[in-house]
Amino acid sequence: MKHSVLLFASALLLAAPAGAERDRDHDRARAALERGEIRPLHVILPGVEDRFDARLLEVELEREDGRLVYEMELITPAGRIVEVLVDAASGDVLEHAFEDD
Amino acid sequence: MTRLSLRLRLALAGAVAVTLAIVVSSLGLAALFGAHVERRALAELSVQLDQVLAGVERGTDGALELATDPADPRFRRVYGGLYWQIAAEGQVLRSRSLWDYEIPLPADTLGDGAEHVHTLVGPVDQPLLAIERSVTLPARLGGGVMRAAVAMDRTALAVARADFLRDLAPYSAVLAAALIAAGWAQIAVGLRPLGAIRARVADIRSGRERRLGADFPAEVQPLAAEVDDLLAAREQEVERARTRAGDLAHGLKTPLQALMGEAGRLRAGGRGAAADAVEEIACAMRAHVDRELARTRVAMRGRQARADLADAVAGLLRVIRRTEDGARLDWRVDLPEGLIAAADSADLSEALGALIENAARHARSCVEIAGRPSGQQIEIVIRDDGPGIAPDRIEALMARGARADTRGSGLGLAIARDIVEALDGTLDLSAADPGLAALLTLPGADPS
Repeated sequence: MKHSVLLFASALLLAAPAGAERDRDHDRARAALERGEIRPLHVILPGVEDRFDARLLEVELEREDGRLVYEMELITPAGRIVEVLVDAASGDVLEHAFEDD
Repeated sequence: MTRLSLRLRLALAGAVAVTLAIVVSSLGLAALFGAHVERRALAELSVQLDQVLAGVERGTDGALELATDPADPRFRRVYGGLYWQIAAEGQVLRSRSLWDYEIPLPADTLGDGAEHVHTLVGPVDQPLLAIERSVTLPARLGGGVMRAAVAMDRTALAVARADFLRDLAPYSAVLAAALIAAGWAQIAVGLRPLGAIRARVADIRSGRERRLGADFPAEVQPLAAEVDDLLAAREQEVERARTRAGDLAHGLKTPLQALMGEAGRLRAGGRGAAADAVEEIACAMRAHVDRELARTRVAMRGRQARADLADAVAGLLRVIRRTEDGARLDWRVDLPEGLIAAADSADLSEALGALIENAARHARSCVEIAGRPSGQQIEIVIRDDGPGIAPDRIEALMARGARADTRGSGLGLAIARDIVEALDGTLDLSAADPGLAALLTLPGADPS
């Protein structure tokens, strides 16, 4: 039963235009922040930018393995693009990869 | 403590003023530029706000939503720099660029339709330039009232202003340097009359001019007039002092003559030793009186005097050849034409006469008189072939009032030296082989 709901939800997600879904993630972020589930992006971001010496290009809020994560794309002054997965609740960097690795 | 020169004072004051003016005007320009940039930004925000308002629709769930996102991609990128926010019916719609942040709109009541400009706090605590407007929805959308705002990072405006200032800086610096240089040139031109005064004072010292005169700028003229008055007063004082000295010398002449007469009476009375002593003292006193009279006479004459050396020597030789000493000697004269000394001819004759007379008295067979120009000066050498004077005695001989022998020949040399010095010349005696050489240097007259 639970499975079929999830499937249904995924089907809905797939059916909806990807852009529209992406457009709504900031509202989900706002709601999660108000519920206290995540820390504000502007608090987490400086640490991440400092750590990779890079500037934020784009952020998406995703739910992975039951927790909310920020999926960030950053660009270094040298022009390398870094993808970073950050735990939205703790601000810890979960994994990162240089896009051209 | 030495005072700053006028030039430096003016230059420093000018440089400070120019620098201040340039700095202030640069800042003023930057402020103007900043205001202009902000006006442009507000105009753009106004366009964006219209676009946001145009996109408001009621969604399938009945809630208000922005059906059409504004075209600018900065609205969609997180912290993209351009933000919109709508508050209506208790819900808040936000651009994706705000992410999890909600702009705290001020709680003022907006008049319908009026655009309000605010500085608000942005998602990363940056200042935002925002315009906000209250709008009444059409009946199709329920007819309620909503507040819509669009905002942009103010930082960008500050950066633009700073960039402008930085771009302006080199031009401002060049302009300041050019103005300071121009100021320096102005000072140089303006202070030139002071240099003219210095030259004129030097002319007065050298006797080419007597007064500073009246052809100076109005600011300097009072100083020149004062100096001229001072010169006139000094001249009068010196004149009076000279007159008194001359009167004194004249006054002493007759008593001295009388004293000599008394000495003659002593001698006639058989007291030769006492007579000699009195005569010697009287001679020494007369020497002083004669020197003072000679000096007074020279000083009374101006410095514009000119005397032809060859003429003076020829006149003196005519006289000396009639004397016992002059007649027996061979006179060798080597004077080129056109040697003109800046001296009165009587003074020149007196000085040369004393030297020639001295040479005639001591020469064995001949006296040489030679002259030549030496730069601005004229050099004259008078040499005899007599016994000469030991070098250590020459100095004593030239001392004031000294005498080479009891016959009083040193007196002539001392008078000659006084006159020569009054004429701004020099007299040097040196031992020649054989005899004595007198080297006389006199200022040459300006060619005219």
